[in-house]
Amino acid sequence: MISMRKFGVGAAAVAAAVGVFAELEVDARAQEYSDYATTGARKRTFESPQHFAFELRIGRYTPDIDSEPGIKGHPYQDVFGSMPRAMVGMEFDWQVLRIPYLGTLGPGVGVGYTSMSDKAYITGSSTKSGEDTSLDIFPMWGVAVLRADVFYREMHIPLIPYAKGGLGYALWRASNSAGTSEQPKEGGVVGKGHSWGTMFAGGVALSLNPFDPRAAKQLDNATGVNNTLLYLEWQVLALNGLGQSNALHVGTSNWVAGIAFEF
Amino acid sequence: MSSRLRRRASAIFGSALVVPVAFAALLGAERAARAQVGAPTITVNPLVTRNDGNGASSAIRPQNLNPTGISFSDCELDQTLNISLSLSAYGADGHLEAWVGGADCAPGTARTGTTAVCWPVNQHITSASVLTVPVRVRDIVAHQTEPTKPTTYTPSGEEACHVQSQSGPVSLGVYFLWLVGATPDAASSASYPVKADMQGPGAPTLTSVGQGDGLLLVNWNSVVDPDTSGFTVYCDPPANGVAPPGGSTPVSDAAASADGAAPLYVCRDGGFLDAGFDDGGVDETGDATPPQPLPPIPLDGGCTLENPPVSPSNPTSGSCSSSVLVAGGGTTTTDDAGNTTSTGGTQRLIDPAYICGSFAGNNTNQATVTGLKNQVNYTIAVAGSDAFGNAGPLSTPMCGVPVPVDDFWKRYRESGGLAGGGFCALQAVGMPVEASVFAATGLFASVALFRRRRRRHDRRGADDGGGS
Repeated sequence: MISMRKFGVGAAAVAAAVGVFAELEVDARAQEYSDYATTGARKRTFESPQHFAFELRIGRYTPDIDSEPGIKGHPYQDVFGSMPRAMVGMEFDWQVLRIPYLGTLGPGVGVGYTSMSDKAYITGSSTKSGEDTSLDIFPMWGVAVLRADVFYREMHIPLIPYAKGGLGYALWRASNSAGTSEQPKEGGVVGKGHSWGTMFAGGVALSLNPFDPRAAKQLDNATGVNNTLLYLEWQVLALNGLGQSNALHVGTSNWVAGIAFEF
Repeated sequence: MSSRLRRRASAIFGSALVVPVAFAALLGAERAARAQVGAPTITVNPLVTRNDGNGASSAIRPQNLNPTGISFSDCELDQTLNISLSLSAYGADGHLEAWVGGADCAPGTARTGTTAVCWPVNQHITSASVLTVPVRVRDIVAHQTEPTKPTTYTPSGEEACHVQSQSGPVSLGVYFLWLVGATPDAASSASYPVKADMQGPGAPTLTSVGQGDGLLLVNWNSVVDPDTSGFTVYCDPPANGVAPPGGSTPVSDAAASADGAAPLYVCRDGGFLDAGFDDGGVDETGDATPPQPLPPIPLDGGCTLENPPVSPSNPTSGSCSSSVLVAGGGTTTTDDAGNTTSTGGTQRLIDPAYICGSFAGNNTNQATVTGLKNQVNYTIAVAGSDAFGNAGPLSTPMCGVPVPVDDFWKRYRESGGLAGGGFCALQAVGMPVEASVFAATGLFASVALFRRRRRRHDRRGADDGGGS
């Protein structure tokens, strides 16, 4: 019930944020067109309306499990080693508000997946068995995204710095060759659960449009994609159990790179 | 007077002669009528039941295992097919016989001489309008590879189950022939098609047996055989700890000492655990017993207290042997592309109790066998299986000892971690977790896109309004 309540509160917060952004959006659009008229900025007549961004991402991932308070030793590192694993993910942003001479602001949601697997040790031995032990993590986040595309739009510098901040959440599951892990000595506590936390990120995106404006225009005409971007981001996914009494610290701080489309 | 007597005698004897003459006339007419009927009609009921060699009814073969098929197991169990026929307009001048062959057995040349391709499986069938003809599986498959076919029926033995040397089905037919007199060609016939495949795929090569907690991870090299539909992994002792009667492999109740350090009760009287073990064993009748304290002396005199077969500190040092799981042999070749082909080899009918896993797919090359007891030294072997349910020759067995392992979750919890217990927050909604995540993301995207469409629609409407 506690978890349900927390999830409900989180969902309500996201919904409220979406509603606020939605109301702001209409005014923002009107202002956007007005800006073009009053400031005399060169309006790119070929461009279709732009309201969203979609990101595909890949990055390193090393969960902070061993930093959990009360943990003795390094259970994660002992089993899976210190080599970071790869995380793949995607994010969908709604660019609700356009702030003149700055960029866009709006909510975004993202989901990722990472998994780590290795052979389990034989009990009381330093010899590895043939049995696999794995940890799967589905990190998710709901964030506000500010993209400062003023440099690109007004100064034609194809770099767009951006920042994100909001709530993070992850579902995770520990498993072995027989399925989801259990700890029979403790009454069969199953190795799966969820962890709340925060997510902050900052990065810079490089617009590919200036490298081939003709192709960019054709892409826009054909699909409505205004901007194709490559980006590099430092992500702090602090999934350390925000408000939870016991949570597996599956968050991480790592570099993430990917490709994004604004449309 | 004499003439009167003669007339009376003539009348009397004349009347007496009428009866046999009339009878003879009727008989002739009937024979003539029968002769005019011609060949009888034979109809085969496609639903065929089976009995095993002891007369017990066998289950009809499952649809996925070729219901009309004959497998190695069917042959070894000495099954009999009970084929129902209906016979109409038959006469006493002919009789019914059952023959088997790969071609039509009705022509006389198919059953006699050097061109014979059929052999008899039942030559003593009593004619009736409705009848059931028993035909032994061994008789059906016995002579398929012989160059000269027999012309008289002789029951075939177990050796008939080994006549096929190549995997893959052979199409045969059980022909019911109405034979009249010495006429070689059958007056009429009907057939019941069968497919015989008694040779399973070639033996795979077992490459490794990895240890796990109550499980073993079995790896093998698949063999290139189009007949392969899956693989069967065998364990000795059986995974459930109960060997079939006559099993020679001792079954140890390792669970009685979870850490493997304490001595174990080992039963060598046919492999049966006895009642009274603290983990709930089974007795000779297969009855499970509730957990009970370990008795000072096993109830079964055939059980003795012995050291564990393998110590946990050196779990791979044990050796294993099995009188049940014996390598089938055969010839294994590997081509330039690295594909392994195995031919020949001896396949045996192994008690299903020793099967500890069946895995579909002809490219499968690994499996996790669960439900095993830690610290028990298992003999593991693998065989390919085909669509008829044949398990081919066994691979060369390997040993495997399940051992307790420390997976990540165990190490985390034992290090003081307190997380875990389930996804209750999202599972309560009644959806799988992954579905919930993607549904939430999809909902968000849908709302956004809906607003975008509505805005476009509104803008287009405004533009249209302005233009009119």
